[in-house]
Amino acid sequence: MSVITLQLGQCGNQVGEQTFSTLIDDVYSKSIGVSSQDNHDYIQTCLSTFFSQPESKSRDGSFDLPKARAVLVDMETKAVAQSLQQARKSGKWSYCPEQWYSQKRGSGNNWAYGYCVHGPRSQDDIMNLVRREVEKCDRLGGFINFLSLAGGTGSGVGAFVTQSLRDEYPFSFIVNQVVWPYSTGEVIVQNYNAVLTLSHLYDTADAILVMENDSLHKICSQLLNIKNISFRDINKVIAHKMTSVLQPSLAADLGTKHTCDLGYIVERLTPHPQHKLLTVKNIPQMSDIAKEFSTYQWPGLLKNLRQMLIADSPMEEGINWEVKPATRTESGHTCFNRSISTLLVLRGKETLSLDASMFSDPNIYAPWVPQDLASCVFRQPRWFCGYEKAATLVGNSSASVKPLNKIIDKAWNMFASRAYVHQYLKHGLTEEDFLDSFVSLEKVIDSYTKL
Amino acid sequence: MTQSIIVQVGQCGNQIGCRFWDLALREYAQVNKDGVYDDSIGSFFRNVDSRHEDPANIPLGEGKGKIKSLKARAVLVDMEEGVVSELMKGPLGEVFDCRQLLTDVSGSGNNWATGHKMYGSQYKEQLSEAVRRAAEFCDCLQCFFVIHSMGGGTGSGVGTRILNLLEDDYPDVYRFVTAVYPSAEDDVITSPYNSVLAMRELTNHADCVLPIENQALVDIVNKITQALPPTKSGKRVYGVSPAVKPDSALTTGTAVGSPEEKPFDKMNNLVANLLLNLTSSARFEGSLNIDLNEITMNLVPFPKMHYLVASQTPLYCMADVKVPPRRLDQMFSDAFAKDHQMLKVDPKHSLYLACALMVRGNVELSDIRRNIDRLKPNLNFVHWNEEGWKTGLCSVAPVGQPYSLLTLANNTCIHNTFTDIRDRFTKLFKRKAHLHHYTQVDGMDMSDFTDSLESLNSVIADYYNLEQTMGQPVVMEPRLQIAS
Amino acid sequence: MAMSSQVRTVIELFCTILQQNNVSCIRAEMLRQAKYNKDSATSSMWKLLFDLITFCKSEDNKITPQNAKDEVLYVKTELQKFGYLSCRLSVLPPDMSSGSRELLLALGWLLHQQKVFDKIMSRRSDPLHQPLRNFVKLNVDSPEPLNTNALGDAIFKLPPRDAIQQQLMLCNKLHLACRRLHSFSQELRCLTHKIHQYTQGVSLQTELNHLTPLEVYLLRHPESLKQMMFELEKDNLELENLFSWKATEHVFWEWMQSVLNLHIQESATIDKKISRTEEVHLSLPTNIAKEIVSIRSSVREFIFHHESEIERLDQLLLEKIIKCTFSYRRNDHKLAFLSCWDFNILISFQKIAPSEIHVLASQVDSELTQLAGRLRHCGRGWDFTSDDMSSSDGTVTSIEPSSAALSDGFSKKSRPKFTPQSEKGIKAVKLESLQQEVTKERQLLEQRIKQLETQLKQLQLDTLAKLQTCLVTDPNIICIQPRGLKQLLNN
Repeated sequence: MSVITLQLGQCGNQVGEQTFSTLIDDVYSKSIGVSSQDNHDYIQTCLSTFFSQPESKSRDGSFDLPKARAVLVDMETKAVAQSLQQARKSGKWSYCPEQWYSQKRGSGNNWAYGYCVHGPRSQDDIMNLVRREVEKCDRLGGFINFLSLAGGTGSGVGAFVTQSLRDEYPFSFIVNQVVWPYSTGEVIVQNYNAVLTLSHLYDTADAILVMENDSLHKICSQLLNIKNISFRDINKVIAHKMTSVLQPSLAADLGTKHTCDLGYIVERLTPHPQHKLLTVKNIPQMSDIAKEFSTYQWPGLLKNLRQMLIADSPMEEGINWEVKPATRTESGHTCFNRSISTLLVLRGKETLSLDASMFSDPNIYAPWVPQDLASCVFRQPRWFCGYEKAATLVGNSSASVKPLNKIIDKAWNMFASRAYVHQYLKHGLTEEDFLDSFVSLEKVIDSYTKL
Repeated sequence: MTQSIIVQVGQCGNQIGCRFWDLALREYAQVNKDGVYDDSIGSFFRNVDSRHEDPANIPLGEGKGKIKSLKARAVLVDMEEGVVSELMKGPLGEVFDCRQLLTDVSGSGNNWATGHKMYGSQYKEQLSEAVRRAAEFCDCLQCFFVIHSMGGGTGSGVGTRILNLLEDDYPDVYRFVTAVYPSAEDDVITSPYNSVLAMRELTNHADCVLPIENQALVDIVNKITQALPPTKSGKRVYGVSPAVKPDSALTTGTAVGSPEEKPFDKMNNLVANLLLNLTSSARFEGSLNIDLNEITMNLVPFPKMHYLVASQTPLYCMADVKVPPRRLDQMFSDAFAKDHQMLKVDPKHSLYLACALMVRGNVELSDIRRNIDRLKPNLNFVHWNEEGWKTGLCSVAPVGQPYSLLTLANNTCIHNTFTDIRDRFTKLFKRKAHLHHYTQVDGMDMSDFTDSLESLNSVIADYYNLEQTMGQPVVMEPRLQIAS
Repeated sequence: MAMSSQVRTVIELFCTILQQNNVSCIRAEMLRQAKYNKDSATSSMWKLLFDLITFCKSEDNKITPQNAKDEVLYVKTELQKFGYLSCRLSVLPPDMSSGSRELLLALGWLLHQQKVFDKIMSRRSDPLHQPLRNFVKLNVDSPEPLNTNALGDAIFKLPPRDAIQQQLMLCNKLHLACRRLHSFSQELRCLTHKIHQYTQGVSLQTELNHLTPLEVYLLRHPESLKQMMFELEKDNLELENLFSWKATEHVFWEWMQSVLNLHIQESATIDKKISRTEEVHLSLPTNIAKEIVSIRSSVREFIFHHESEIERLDQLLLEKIIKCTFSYRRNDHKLAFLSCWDFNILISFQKIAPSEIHVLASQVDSELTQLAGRLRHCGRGWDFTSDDMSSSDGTVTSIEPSSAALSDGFSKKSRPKFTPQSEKGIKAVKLESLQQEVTKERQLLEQRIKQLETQLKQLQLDTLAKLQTCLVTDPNIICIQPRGLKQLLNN
């Protein structure tokens, strides 16, 4: 099975590149804890899923590097060029030459420019690149699109390209990994862009993996102890999260082979068409230096992870232990984070025999979710990125409501004064389009809060 | 990568332009040590083989082509010969060729009407032709930077006429105007007329205007001079804190090879640097790029409110190599101080509609975040844009400095400046002083004056009304409800 | 004696063939017992018939009946659908207690009518052409099937809103699973294509120019050739069996003839008994067809009426929406609106109501048809007593359950003739009970229609009133969610 990655916009290209590097770093990691045969399987599965391996030797007799199954898209040259160069510099993998598309003039943070002007203009070229990549796959497992919500290219062109993918490949799985902007500043019109993007993605993508910059920043500063946090640090955290989910693992339903079946993940996590927002929580997360001096026990890790889910905490520090799954406030709203479905990925020592039943407690799920569909466990005895034990929880829960609510609040506030709207109307968007987007997101919030 | 064309009009515009090209060359010399002609240089210069009669572009050549001879992507316009011909004789003369110039001999006599209506119509074809020539050398033209003063005749008159031309011929290309506003004690009597008449054109035809006030520049230059070590003594003072490095970009006064410093050079440097910093993020790499089109997108909430207050810090740089965070934070604080603005205004006590922080050099994302959190409580933002920050990070620092910050703010305080100009205008207009100089020009009408005044009034009112909402309780529009 | 031993071998052969081709598993002894109408063979015979029917219908997804009653019912109805309209079979007790010979006769009829052995032949595949996945038994634990019954029960326990959510979720999950399946089948195609491509020019079969995946597998795994040899031998054996069946088939049919003879002998006495005691004529009220037609038309009328009501509601709602949209246009700050999307949903939701009516209508229809079926059943009883039973041309006229047949199905001219091959006349059921049944059925139907009518009217009025109050009293209601509307309806 193969998964094709689309890197859209500056942020998408940076995060995409980082994700491939992290995948490769984990593949060639020294501390593995499994037999070399198992390790070989693991590596082959990862490489065949996310990379295409050249069959012939190159002229100097050495094998070519694995080539990422990726299409790089930006409306500017710089980010794409940087990604290509970074990959080349790594010496472990590279992008396919010619599998990128860039323009000279960026979208200028304007969603409408990306969606209404750049998108249609570059549709044919981009879809051609995608087709080339698809033709290399025996089985197309799906697409992962990396993009940010704030800018114009990632969000606008991203929404358009996702739409085109859906039209062209109606049966494939499309997962969009979106980077949620800082709540304060980055791009001023980010809330408009985010509202427009999310509402469009909700119609076309199968799942939306949300990465909040604010939470990631906290993880960098509190868990990884980074003083001067750069985007590279934040992208690394995103890549770590993505990789921990995507790397091969065993699922009870999928036989005895290691797989990274994107479709299965989607089927388990977003079975309900009105609930598509996913969050990823990892434990443990620490700096490389701290890794060597730390030991963890599974029961503790899982207990923390469960509470992170229930209390909706982005990391293991500062979890609110007061929150209990049964408590309801007087107004009838649940004050804990209720889920539709969860996927637990266990990596490292002792994982094959580990009991994860605490995640199938029906109390933490919506009442209408059949118990055997609520939770799902992937296991992988191989160590992950140097962690002897690591657990990841992907949840489809009401956790995303809070940031979504904030974004809508601000965008609505701005829209009420019609500030900046003229910049969008200029490129063919209408006020009705804005209103439609607001409505569909209000609905999303409504359905999540009613869990 | 995209390209930009500088259109420098009038005496003031050409003087600033001259400094700009000098500093731009220096910056590239610093960044691009291999002498390879790349995308980045290409955004302001073309690489030509000057042995030919009509030098054609040398293509980029996959980043391997050496720089042969650079030609500025510029159009120089003046209705006198003095400044331009001096420029051409000077060391910078090589980067221009005569087809980029447009001059007359008689000048506009500080009369907007002469510049806009008379010369504007007379030279219409040539102006179009000069711009078209420059534009054809670009494969993706994104932006015109028009530099002129508001007080004189040529700058304000011809400059705004060119703006109209650009809008007609290149509707998709952004038009940034750097307009130098006259001080209250300006020696040109008709400057209020010129300014107000030109303002209407700027309001209607520019995408973004960076108003700059002469007096503000003078004050900043004075501040720098005081801080600089006394170079005339010939002694360098080391180890004395704060030691100031004498040759950082902002403080470099003299042109290359020029024997002496001209009177306005220091002030013009400030403006030239503003343009360099403004475009740096579009020209060089960075982890958070700001393209030029993002500036209008983020800072102009309503079409006519496109006047931005700029400030640059640090004004001079410490000789210390280490960058303690305290100094970095000082840079952010200064950017919001009254005495660092390019206009004589105080944004801190007015209402921010939006604010961009464009950082260059050795600064991390977390530094910006920390400073935003620190500064925010003391600033007033309009209620629908509480988090109106646009941030950019460019990894290439300006010449001679480890880092720098350019802030662009859409702030209601600007209405004070505009009100001043309007008051000076009405003072003259009431007496109908010098009006006949204008009305005698073909095509000039009294309605031009009244319309311009009206246009200015509406801009002032827009900003003023928003400022009045400051501190008022806001009635929020209720969100859409999902009925169930 | 030689004959009887031949019969035995043939019947055993018959059983072996059925077994080897995965049709059914029955012992020859059972057939022998059935000939003599032994009750001990009855359940095996039911099972055999059931298996044969599912085989004939070639349903991959075999239904597994919950209990004997269901199985009997299924076999009876399916046989009727095939055209076997024996009254005796249809009155056999549902507990599988007796009637094995009747079943044996049905078996004979089915074997011949459905050409079972031809079907067996045509569905055989030889081991060399089987799909690779059949040859290589992969050790994949098939995932435990979801307990759908438990799931279904759980849904009924949920409040309606949650039940809808769950349905939505399960439905979408199914959709996603189908997409995964699609990608798997695509991969299979892709890989097969690769094998064909890479083995271009090499071939073991004359009609192909490449190797099949199975052949490639055999070449790569020589040890599996043994398995292939074994399968080929087995296949050979099975073919031989079929071949000898063809040669000795007549023995089977002769035996079946003997069964029939036996049956006729014995049934003559029984029939006499019945004819003496139950010689009855069924008189139907002459106007029943008309009545049914008139009831049907009144139902139709009623449906149309309801539809027009719905249209009126639509209209009302549309007006309200337009008003809202206007108020939005007038006043920028008062954002009252309904997005196009909502509007569509709303409209489409409105349309659910008529479709519900359709469901009701079709229910009524099917009840009518059932009734008609029963009537026909009575008609059959008539036929057998009055018509000449000796004519046995072997044709069986099936009865269309269409309304046309219904309306004029009672005239003598088109009255269905039922003349099964071996049946003499059948005196059907008592006339009285039939009449009672018909009138009862009619009453029930009328009641049901009345009930429906009042229900629908009530529903309409409620909805209308609620919507109106809702639209009038609360000007802030901008966007009425489908769900909300549904709840309104439900309350």
